[in-house]
This record gives sequence, structure tokens and C-alpha cells, in this order.
Amino acid sequence: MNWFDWLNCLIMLAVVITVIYPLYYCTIVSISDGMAVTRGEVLWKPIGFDLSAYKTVFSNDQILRSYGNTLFYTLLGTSINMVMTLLCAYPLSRPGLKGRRLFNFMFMLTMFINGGMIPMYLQVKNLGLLDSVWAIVLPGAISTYNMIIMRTFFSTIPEELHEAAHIDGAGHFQTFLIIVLPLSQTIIATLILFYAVGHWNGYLSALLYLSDSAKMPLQMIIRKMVIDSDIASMTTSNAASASTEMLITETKLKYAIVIVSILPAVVIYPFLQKYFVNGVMIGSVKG
Amino acid sequence: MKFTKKTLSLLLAAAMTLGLCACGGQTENPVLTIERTEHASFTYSKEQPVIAELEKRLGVDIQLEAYPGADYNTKLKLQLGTNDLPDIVFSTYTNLADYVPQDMFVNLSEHMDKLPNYKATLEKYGELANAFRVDGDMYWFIMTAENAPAYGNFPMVRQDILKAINQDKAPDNFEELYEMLKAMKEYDPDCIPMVTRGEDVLWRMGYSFGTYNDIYYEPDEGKYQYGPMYDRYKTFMEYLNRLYTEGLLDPDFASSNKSIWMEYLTSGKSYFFFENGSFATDINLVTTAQDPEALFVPMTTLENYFGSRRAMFFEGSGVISPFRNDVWVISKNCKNLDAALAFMDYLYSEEGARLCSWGIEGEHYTDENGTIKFDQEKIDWYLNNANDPYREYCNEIGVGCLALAGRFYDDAWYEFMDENSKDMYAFWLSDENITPYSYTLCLSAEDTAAVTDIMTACKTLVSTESLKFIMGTRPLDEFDDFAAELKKAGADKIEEIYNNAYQASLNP
Repeated sequence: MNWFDWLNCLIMLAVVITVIYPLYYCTIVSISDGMAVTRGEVLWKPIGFDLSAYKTVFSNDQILRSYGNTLFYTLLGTSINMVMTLLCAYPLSRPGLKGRRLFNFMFMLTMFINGGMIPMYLQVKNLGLLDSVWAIVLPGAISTYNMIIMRTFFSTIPEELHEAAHIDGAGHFQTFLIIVLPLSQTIIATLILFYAVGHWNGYLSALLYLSDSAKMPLQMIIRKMVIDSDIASMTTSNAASASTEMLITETKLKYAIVIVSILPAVVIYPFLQKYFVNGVMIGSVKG
Repeated sequence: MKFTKKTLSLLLAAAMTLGLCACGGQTENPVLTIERTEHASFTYSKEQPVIAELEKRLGVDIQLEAYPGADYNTKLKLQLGTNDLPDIVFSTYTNLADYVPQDMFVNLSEHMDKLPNYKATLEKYGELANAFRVDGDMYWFIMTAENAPAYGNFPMVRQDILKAINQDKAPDNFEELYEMLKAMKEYDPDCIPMVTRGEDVLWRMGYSFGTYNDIYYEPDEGKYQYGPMYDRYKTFMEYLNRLYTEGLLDPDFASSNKSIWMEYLTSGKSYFFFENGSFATDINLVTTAQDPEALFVPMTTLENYFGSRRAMFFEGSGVISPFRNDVWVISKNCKNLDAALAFMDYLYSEEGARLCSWGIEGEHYTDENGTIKFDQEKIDWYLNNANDPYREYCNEIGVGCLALAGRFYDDAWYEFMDENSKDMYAFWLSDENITPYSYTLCLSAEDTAAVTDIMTACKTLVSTESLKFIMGTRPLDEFDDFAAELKKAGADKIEEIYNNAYQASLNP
């Protein structure tokens, strides 16, 4: 190893630590003794062991219900996103489509010019979607950016494969389902991750379009517990906490919620990751 | 608009069909949609007994919409922008004041004949209530807390350290406070005697010191003043500069925040704070766990260099004004205006206030010849099992300032306090040196517009320059230049507007 490699390693190590430490810190604070947390003693390793914050999280109906809601919105939303994106990107990638440039342009336009919050709200309201799950999953069914990624990927699939399929008697749908989809696992996995993370972290559309607290996703509850408790203690109107243990578990509770909410992403990522590294096109074209 | 109506009627038809199926043809109660912020320890729900009881007593169907406080303004702005407000909306008057001229809310002054209880409440507090009027009209139902424990910004000191430095008497004025901090530093050179939550010290300590870092009502002068323009502020800067240079004030105070502040006080690195005194409950819990003597106790209101003593109590804490800055408004779009007015007025009646403070009589409290008794078993359970006992107790029943309340009694809070805290609150209540501090003054729309821009410029100037004065990077000789800069930025214009509005509120 020369000096450059060493330097490289050092920089990479620094990057890794900056990414891992906050996560690690959240974990140790959430399981440490509350008094030690308040005194600011927990820094590198947990002090004491106390799972009360997790007990609170899992005994809170609102958190559990919203967790279920988020799972549902993520599954349904991502399915809709993927179906719509695939169905939109494939035709746009085919050279034979008439008016392809025009359609592409129309899609591109929405990336740069959009109606904004109020027209969007009025539109959702006029379609009668307010306060329903559809307000969350339908308005952003296709992300133009993701659709372009997918379209670009489709257009890298060699034309020879399409021709071969055509000669073997496959129609457009068959080619799409049997040839194109299996070759696109990489990009499908990537976009699933993009969309799913988007839904998992999404709160703005819930805030704007939902009013029934039984339908709220997890992020709304997290915002309430993590950000509001900060704000509440900043302003004067409800700063007084007459509680005996609020302070002690407040920080812990926040971090426990954070850990619980990022858990699914952390668990799922390694399984999707293999698709990112595999070069799927290797060996598909000979000669 | 045709489309909206169609959708609405379809939805209504669907709702009615559902309603009919569910309750077999009962007469429809008027529906009131009510929106408010939701606190982390509070979940607004129809399962709360008080909300069910309110529905029953008033014959209305309440539909609740609750949002996290952090995003509430976004939602509210969207609803105001699309003219899609629920019937009854909760916020602070400062948030809603901008929308009054846009004719979004029902002018309650026009309906006072239908609001006997609210009218009585306003009349009871006369001048204080008038400060909430916009151009002479009342647009909001002000949340009113009676019998509430009083708290505000007070000097708090560790009693064991006070003994250790051989001061048998706590400081009585600001000079003695300086002497005490100095003695603490000599006693424990590693300590930082005083910590603050950032720049907050400018107003939290400022008012007691005889000045303020913004526009405020100066009781010594009987008028509104823009604090930093006056020599009193210079004295304040000199004082803080002295604390700062001698290491008595946290050297990083400007960038400090609540958790750092808490860390210093609970870990025994700091012995004094001039802050929201109610936090002492939380801090003492941690400090006394290690050493029972390590207790933060309140000090007498200090005499300032201008010969007055004054403490800054927070609004809605009973002592100065029962009015919180939280208000309810009725939307102009409200379909059942009479039901909404009757509902809100009920919250201000004695019967309604009791319901929204203590719950249902016989079930949650008993009234024995005027003495209110609470369910001790329940209180004990919350004290031992809850993260935030008082708020979670209120949540179960649906009472208090976080619930649907107009006028309420906040005395159940005392039941949840430990002995130290009870003493602390009793000490503040018995303080003879309380001078009224008036926070609220609703400006007319024109005035608000005129003041906003000037205010931002002045605030930035005050904040940056104050820090420079305290840290000594700008010599105090230049204070007069600073005052002149403020005047140039329009601070005297702010004063003028506030004083005119104040005079108008005195003679509505």
C-alpha cells in the first residue's frame, strides 16, 4: 500500500464513522440509564441497561397503529409506483413509438413546472380523495425522475434481444414480461428502494391530505414526539413540565422511536443490495 | 365549484346512508369539525370521556382533527389559503392575527348576545381582555387558565453550594448576585456558575434587570419601550460583560441549548440559572438522586440597579393574566354557526369549565362543599407508571389546556407535584414583588404590516450587537451609536405604534 491508499483508507474510515456513530449513539442512549443520559455521560458506551423506552414505544397504541399504516402505505404505494413506472417507461423507451419525443417532453415538463401546494390540494380535494389512502398513494404515482432512470435503462437493452423475441413470436407484452423484466432486476430493485424509502419517510402528503388521526403514518407520530417535544420545551406556554420522569425518558424515548422506525430499512437493505452490485447484462449478448 | 358541490352532496349522501344504518334513524346532530395541535403526551380522541360528555350535553357531533405542532402552521396556511377551514380552529393569536383582515373568522363582537358566559369572562378581566381586541373587535375565544400554578423566569440557586460558600442569605439584588457567582467560582474554579439556554438570557433575565431585548411594557415609565434603545440596556450589557469576562457566565452561552444547559445543571458543573423556574422540578430529580442536598431553590425577586423588583410571570399562569396566548376561532365557513357559538360559550360556563378541568363529577372528581377531591388511586398510578404523569392523566380524561377547553381550572396540577416543587410554587405565589407584566397587545392589521419588517431588522441588530457587547468584541463606549442605529432602523416607530395601540386598548 502506498501513501495514497493509506490516505484513502483514512478518509473512508472517517466517512464510515460519521455515518455509523449517530446510529450507534441513538442505540446506546435508548438503552442506557435515564439519569446518565441527562447528565450527558453516555458518549461511547451504554451506561446501565434499561429498556423502558422500548416498552413505552411498543405499548403506545398510536405508534403501533401508525406503524401498520406506514407499512400499508409503503406496500400499496410502492406497488402502484412500480406498475405505473414500468408501464410508462417501457413504451417511451421503444424507438417505434410515434410521438415519443413529445411524450417525453410532456413528462419532463412536470419536473420543472409544477402547480405547487395549494393547487395540488384543491385538485386532490376536487377528486374527492381527501382523507383517504388514495390521497397518499395516487398523486405521486409516477416520479418522473425515476421513470427516466428506468426508461434509460430499458433503452440500453440491446435491440437484438427484442428482435430475437419477435422472431420467436412474442408480442409487445410478452417481450416486456419475459425478456425485459427479468433483465431489469437491478433497476427494479433500485427503484423499489427509492420509492419505498420515499413512502416510509413521507409525511407531507399525510399532513396535507389526511385529517383522521387513525390514518396517520408513523412519520407524523415521530414528528409529534421528536420535534414537538423540543419545541414544547423551547416556548413558554407549555414549558412547565411537572412530570417526574418526563425529562429522563424524553431523550431516550426519542431515540428509541428513531431506532424502531429505521429498523425495517436497515433490515431490508442488505437483501436488496446484492442487486446493485450484480452486473446483470453480462453474457446476454454474444458476438 | 359545481364539481365540489356534487362531490360534497355525494359524500353527504354516503355519510347519511352510513349514519342511518348505524343508528337506525336518530335525528342528526349538527356536526362540528374542530382542529388543534396535539402534544406528544396527548392523543386527542373521541374516546376521552369529556369529549363524549360534551357531545351528549350539547347535542353535537364533534369531529376532531389533530396535527403535530411542528407542522400545524403549514396545514393551517394551506387551509386558510384554500378557504377550507374546519368549523373551529385552534392556534395562537399571533398566528391568526394576519388573517383577521381577510375576513376568515366570525367576529364574535357581533354575536355577544349568544355568548353570555364568554362575555362574562371577558368582563371579569376587563383591561387584560381588551388587549386581545383587534380594532375594537374580538375574534377569538381566549383560552383561560384559572387557579393555575404560577411560574416564570426566576433566579434559581443550588442551596448546598450557597451554604458551602458561607452565604447564609441568598442575594437580594443584582450586585449581590454577582458577588455570589464570584464566590462560587472561587469555591470551585472548574465550575461555570451560571448557564443559559442561548441568547434567551437577554429577555429572561432582562426583564427583572429592568430592561428587555425587544418592545415591552415598562412599568416604571407606564408605556411601551424598545428596550435596547435605552441606557438601562447598556447597564445590562455591562453586567453580562462582567460576568462573561470573569468566567462566571458560560463562555459558549450564545450557542448553548436546552440539552447542554440541562447537562451542566444536572451534572453539577453549574450552580445558578435565571430561567423558567419550573424546570427545577426536572433538574432536582436528577441532582437529588445522587445527593439529597443538591437542590435548586428559588431566590427572592432581586432588586435591580434602578430600584425596582420585578419578576416575569408567564401568561396563563394565573398570577398576572389567566389568558394564555392560545385561542379558538370560528371559521366564516361554519355551517352550524349557532351550534358552534353555543358550544364555545358552554366551555366558558361554570359547568363547562368544571367538565373541562376535572372531568365528570362523581366519576373523576367529587365536590365536597366546595373542596374538589380527585381520584387519588388514579393519580398515584400515573405518578408511578407514566412518563409525563399530569399530561397523561389529563389525556385519559380529556381535560386541561391540551384538550377542548375554553376556561379551565389548572389546580389538579398540584396533585402531581413533589414536595419541593409545591414549596417552590408556593414561594413564587407569596412573592410580594410581582409587578404585572403585560405580554398581549393585538395590533390592527395595518399596524402589524407596518411593524413586521422593522421588527425583523431591529431584532437581528439587537441579537448580533448584544452578543458583541457581552463578549467584549464591541466596546460599550459605542452603545450610543448602537442606539442610534436602532432608531435609524425604525425602533422608535415600533414604540409609537405600540403606545397608540395600548392607549386604544385602554379605552375601547
